Amino acid sequence: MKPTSHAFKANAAAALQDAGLQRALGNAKGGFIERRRRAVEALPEFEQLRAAARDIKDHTLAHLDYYLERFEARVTAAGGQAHWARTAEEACRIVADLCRAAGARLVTKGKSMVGEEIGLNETLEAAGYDVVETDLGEYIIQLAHEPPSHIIAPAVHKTRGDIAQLFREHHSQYGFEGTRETVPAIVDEARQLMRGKFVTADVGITGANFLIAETGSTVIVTNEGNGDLTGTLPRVHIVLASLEKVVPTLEDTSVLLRLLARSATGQEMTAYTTFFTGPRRPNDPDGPEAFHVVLLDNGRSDMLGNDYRDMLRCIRCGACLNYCPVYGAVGGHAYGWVYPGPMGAVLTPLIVGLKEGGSLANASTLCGRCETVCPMSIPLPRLLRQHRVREHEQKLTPPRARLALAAWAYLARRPRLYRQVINAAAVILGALGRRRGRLRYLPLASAWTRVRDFPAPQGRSFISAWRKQWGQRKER
Amino acid sequence: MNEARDAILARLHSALARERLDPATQMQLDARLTSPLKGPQPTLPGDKVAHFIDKASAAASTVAHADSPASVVHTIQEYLITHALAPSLVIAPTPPLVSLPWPQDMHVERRAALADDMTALTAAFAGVAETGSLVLLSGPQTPTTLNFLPDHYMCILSRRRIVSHTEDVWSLLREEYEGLPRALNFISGPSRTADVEQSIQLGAHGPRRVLVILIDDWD
Repeated sequence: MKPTSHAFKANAAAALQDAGLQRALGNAKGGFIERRRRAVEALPEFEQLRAAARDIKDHTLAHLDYYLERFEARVTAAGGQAHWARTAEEACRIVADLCRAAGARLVTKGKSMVGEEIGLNETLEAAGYDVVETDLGEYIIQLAHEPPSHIIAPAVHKTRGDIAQLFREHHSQYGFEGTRETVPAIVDEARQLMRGKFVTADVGITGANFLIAETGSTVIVTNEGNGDLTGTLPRVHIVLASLEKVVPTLEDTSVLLRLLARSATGQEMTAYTTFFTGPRRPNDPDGPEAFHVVLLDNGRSDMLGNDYRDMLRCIRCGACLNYCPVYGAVGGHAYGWVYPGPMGAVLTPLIVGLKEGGSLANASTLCGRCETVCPMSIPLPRLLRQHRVREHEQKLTPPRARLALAAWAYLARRPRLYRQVINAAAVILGALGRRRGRLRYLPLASAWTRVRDFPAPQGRSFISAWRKQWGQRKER
Repeated sequence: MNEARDAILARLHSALARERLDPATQMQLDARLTSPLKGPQPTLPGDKVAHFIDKASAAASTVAHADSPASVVHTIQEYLITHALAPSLVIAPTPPLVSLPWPQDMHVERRAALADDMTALTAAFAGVAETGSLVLLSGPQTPTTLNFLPDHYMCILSRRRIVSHTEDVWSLLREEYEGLPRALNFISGPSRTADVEQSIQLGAHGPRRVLVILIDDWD
């Protein structure tokens, strides 16, 4: 999809006014946090695991070439094939070619954020394939023609009523009548409908949470079982994965698995954790005849070489979204592309460019909760700050903001003048706001005062107050 | 697509500010792959089997006990009656299941699963106490579709095959297998989704119920 991240401000303003969205966000808010908290508290080794996980990923990234080549060799040895793609377009072309070679008509998909990133559905649909998302959340947003608004709960912005209506509109063609009002009825209708898709699909496409260099396996961590049906029933199984998904061994995967589900949904282990290794073996009664892994770069090799390498540790658990006050207020679509929240605000500018995505880095209070809960200890606030610095250096920020910063920098370098100006401002604003204790309008900051009052200063700057009280004392 | 492969590897080398790794470093990394290190593991209080039962139950699996082949069959018959299911079953075509004393009035098929099968029975490779998970391997006698298509999923697990942690499964696999099978499934409870208003609903696309039948001896 074409990103609209540059319009974050307008997107966010619209999201705050959207009553339906606010209701859906309100429903979701507490659950993720509470479940994660309980799971982490029940595991005294959590911090130890976090440190071990960071070391595993750092080690892997420092030898990423080696581990990817080993992974590829193991995939080949297991009878599968690895394909390398520099860009989203290359990855889409590889998948489309594989579908054509398979003589495919119906393509089922398990949930894949890389699939979203490269816009695979559009490519395949344009090439004439019937593409069906099989994860319930992904299926809902496919019907609605929307991007996911959360990386593990793609339809978190939809209410039950929204979903019932989408089903009513799209399912009469399959002979479903009436409206499903309850959650079990909605889930059951999707289950019945998807059965037919699973067993008639020619190609199944899934993502991968991990790639294992030791064995050439791809791992998916799921709850619905749709990923397994997608990877087992069609004749061809294609796995989409970005380069940084590789880990050395099965033992390393055990460490990461202990963190992933707990951070994502608060589960100790999801209902299904599956390791796929190659296609069906001789005498196997089921499984695909062909197994392909598409390895996508799309900006990762750049990140490996610059000061965003830490971001390549991300295992896409979504904890930073759940804990982010900004994400909680505006939801995922305001971020304008496929990755929302703090991880999205770091990743989006790196993939679609700073000009398009840079404003996301400003959509943060830098409160630091994201880093605190990140199972991979990614310094998200620091990476966001780096984006802000780059944005300023490349003169991508608005002229007024630059002018204000320049004025502040001029003053800050002249302490005496700075104190005089601050004192004068404190006195004037204090006098103006004496009656109410707050100001309803500030020149140059009218956007701020339009929605809230500015507390009036008490008439004196902090420095002069400090001087007055403590100035005579000798510093120790 | 070798062009893309070479280009990506060249970019990785440039990002890492080095050429392809020298043979000595490669050998060190090879050793890390062939003798894997274990990371931190949760300590499991008490007995492995009891822990497995706790965790499997917490993940919404039902755990039953059977002390003889006849009692396995009896457990299954009771389950079918309780859930108002027809006396019909698809089983993995593996000797321990095929040789169970199936009664005349039970319709038993040995094959991979079809879309409208209601009930399946398989035998687990191992169980993991840490998470209450069943471990299933694909193979000529163990079709993977049985784990996912039927509404009701039953699985026999020998107590002796319950290990503490997932790492113990890797050790068992290295002892008993060459490489990994096509599919290795950890199954921790029935299929579920929270995609409608974050309300957890069992039976999304996979089994609605999971019955684990623990037995004392199996081989």
